[in-house]
Amino acid sequence: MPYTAEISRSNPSCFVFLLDQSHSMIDTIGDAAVQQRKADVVADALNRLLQELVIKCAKEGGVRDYFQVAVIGYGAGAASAFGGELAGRDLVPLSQVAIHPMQIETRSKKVPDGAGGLIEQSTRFPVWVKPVAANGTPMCQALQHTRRLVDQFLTEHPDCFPPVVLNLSDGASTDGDPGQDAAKLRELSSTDGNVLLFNLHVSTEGSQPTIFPGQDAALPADDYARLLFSMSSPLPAHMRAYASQQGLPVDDSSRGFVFNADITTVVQFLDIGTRASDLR
Amino acid sequence: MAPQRTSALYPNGSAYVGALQHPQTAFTDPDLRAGTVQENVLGFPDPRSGNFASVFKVTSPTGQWAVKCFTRQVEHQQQRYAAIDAALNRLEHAALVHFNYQPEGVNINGTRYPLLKMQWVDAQELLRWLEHHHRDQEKVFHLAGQLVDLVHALEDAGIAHGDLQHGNLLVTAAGKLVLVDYDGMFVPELAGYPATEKGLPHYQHPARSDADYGPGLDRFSAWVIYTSLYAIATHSPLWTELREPGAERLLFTHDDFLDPVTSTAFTALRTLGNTQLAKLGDALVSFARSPRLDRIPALDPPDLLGVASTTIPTPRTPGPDTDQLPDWLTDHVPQTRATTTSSLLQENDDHKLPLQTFPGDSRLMAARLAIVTALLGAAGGVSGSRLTAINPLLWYLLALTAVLLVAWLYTRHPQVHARRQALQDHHDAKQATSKAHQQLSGAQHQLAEFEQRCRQHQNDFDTTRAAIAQKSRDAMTAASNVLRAALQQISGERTALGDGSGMRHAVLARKQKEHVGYALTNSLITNDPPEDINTLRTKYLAEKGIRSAADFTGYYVSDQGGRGERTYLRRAGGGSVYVKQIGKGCAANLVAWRESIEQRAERSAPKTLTAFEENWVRGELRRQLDLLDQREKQAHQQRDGTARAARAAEQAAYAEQDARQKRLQAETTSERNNLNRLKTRAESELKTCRMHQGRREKIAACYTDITGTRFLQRMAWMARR
Repeated sequence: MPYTAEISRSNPSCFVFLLDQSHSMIDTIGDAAVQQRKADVVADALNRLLQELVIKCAKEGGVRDYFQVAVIGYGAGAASAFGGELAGRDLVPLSQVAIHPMQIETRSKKVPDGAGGLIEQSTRFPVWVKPVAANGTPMCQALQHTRRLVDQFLTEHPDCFPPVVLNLSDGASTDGDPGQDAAKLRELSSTDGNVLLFNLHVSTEGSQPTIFPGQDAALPADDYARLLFSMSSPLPAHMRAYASQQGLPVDDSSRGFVFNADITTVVQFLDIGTRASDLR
Repeated sequence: MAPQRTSALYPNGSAYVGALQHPQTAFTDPDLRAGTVQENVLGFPDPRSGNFASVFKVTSPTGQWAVKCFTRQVEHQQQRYAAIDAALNRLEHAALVHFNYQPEGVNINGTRYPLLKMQWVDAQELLRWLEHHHRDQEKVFHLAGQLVDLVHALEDAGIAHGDLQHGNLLVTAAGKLVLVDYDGMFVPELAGYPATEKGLPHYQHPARSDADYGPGLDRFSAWVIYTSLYAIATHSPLWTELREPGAERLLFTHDDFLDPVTSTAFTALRTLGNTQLAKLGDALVSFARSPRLDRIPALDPPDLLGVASTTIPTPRTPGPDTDQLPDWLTDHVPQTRATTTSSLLQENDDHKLPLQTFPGDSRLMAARLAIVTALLGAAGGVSGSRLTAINPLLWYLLALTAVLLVAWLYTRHPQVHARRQALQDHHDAKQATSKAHQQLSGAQHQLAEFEQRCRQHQNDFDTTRAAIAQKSRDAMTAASNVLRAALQQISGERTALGDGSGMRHAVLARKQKEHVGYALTNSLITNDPPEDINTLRTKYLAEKGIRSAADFTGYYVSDQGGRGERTYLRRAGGGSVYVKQIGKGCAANLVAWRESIEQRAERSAPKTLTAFEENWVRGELRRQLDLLDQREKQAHQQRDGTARAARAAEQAAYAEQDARQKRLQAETTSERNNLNRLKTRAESELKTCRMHQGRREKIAACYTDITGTRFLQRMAWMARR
């Protein structure tokens, strides 16, 4: 059965996050009450996801290197979006990610004090990636770069749980048709299955998101939506099961693709897409 | 806090890490509220995460606690923990820890979630403990003994942990074994509840399914752990030989259980020369091949191995007297010497499933009644019209209904249903195998095509290289040919020059010719008129430009198309001229005059070169030879230049080819690796499918007796009884 390889320190897997840093990411999404820039939403969701990954792999004795993680930003070019200690590095073992956030941010919020009142409380959380919104959308370049990274990783870990690539963007590629490069990336395989490429399109329109559509799903009448759909891998069984647990209607043909994502869907997409398999 | 689509979702790990930064508001338990949460290097609450929960260490005024916060909801969690708590309290075993389930223990963004508060155990996970102590035979044996004791206690109480594995087995500094994580535990009170997990595969029987939940769930895992500990204790190098560094398992992988024949671990156990170890290994192989979990015996370390459950065992050196298997093993181990491998290399038939029959249950009884009714009905129908007042048709209807009832009972019988399912499963498994086979053929084909393409590429490269070499050779040959022609030409010219005699002759001839020319020019007709050339004729001749012997060379006579003869003089510069009063005779006289002058001049002409002329000739010869030398040198240079250019072009072309080939090779290597991975994937898929099919076939074979005939026979048998 594909996508069942054990993920362990001796047989790690990897995640590559592709982050659209084009100029249009400066536009805001959300309802009138909560307006946020798309770049902020995506960076925020990614930071939380990275923290969650780190926590999932935290065991007695520290964070285990079950994964290597790369965050590739594409805008001016396609390069690592990590900052601080990790600046410029592509695939980084998770234990390194864990101890090297770019900075630690503090946010305040009011919480119930348990005695009927509210008190202001500040919560700290780690930040690895900063929002960027400038330049074009060189998606082809990002996919080619990813293919090199993943190919190298597969050479070193031929039996790994297949690498998962999550592409978060808000617009069409500005450096050619990404379909070819996406296909070449998905062609790569470990002995456990093909590389998984999932695509998420962030919307400003506020229209209903299309989440993990299958072959029969009515896609938006939009060439770009169809292109991204065709670029996306089908969800493996365990991710479908997990998505289904979350109340999402999925079937065997559902693909790792979200169109017109809102803030909640971005988080959900990352959560389901990084559900590699059960970690012990 | 991550947004949640449904309220049924539990908080994730980061939500807990966020909330536990403030224990005084996060917890509801006053003791925990007053505590501090252990932090990591970045100052965040430091979790230890599992599949369902993250555990945090909290130091409170009353002690140290492990606080388990759940990230997934488990059905009936509270009832489960209550039942487990009760069962473990009854057991009171030293290796078990107490816990306190708080249904509303932790507050996340205004919603309360359960937590589990447990006594913190200062202990190491089994793998980390073994990392340090695997060479300490006494300690490892002691631990194995504790495991046997614990497993016995649980087994006797009808309890199963559900996920017996290294991560849930801790060892304290004093070497005491502690079992933790009771989320998936089965206790008798939970019979009928669904299982919550399947356990870590490296410790689980291949047949364990999601549905398995009951006593005996731990048996296979217990054997796996015991065998591993025993093997490590008796042969500590196995710890590194059978495990890659950091591997999250003991000595066995799930693949070892799926395919014991090719398993390195089982082979190692058999070939170490330790008979007891070999027997343990073979027993485990036989358990792994058992198609059903419930046929595996409880962990019961045999006297053979010298292990008493509570004492430190002493391993016996393997001897020849250990061939006799103990009772506990005879059921499970092939009846050959344990060190003989042949039996293990064949498909093991020890676990043939029992042939399924129709049990003597109420359904059979109902069917029997229905048959009796049918017979009565038929009989009633035949005799009904005469014996009773009921319409025979009603009797027949009764009989028919009874027959239909039997048919219905048969088709709805659980065994028949099970048979249908088994056949369907077998069919599906066969289909899956055939699909996997096709996939493998596809992968092999792809690889073969790829290699063919690579060979083609290599041939193309070879051809291109050959063409480059040929082009270079052709250019060299052409240049050499040009050189050879030039040298031939030069050599010819040099031969022609020789020692200069040719040139000398030429100079002398020119000088003599000039001498004759002068004599002719200086012989004017007026000064020395030939015979018959009088003054008038001289005048006519002069009028036509003929004044000296040099002005004409001969004459000819033309008959002018029959209109009479006319004599023409040939001019020295070409052409001819008619001169009045110069007829044939005069012309002949003029020519004779000219010839006599010429002959005289030839006789008087110089016969040698002057010293000056001789010098000139020598100089000229040297100059000519120098020129030839120069041309020869130039020709060589030209050839060398062309050759150098050809060689440079060749090198450049080769370099380009090399670069292309290198690029292609990198791509090729990457693609070959990828295709090989795809092939390996297809192979393992096929292997799994085949094994699965084998198991399905065995199960299906058990239902050969579940037929309509057997059903009727069984009814008849029951009836007879």
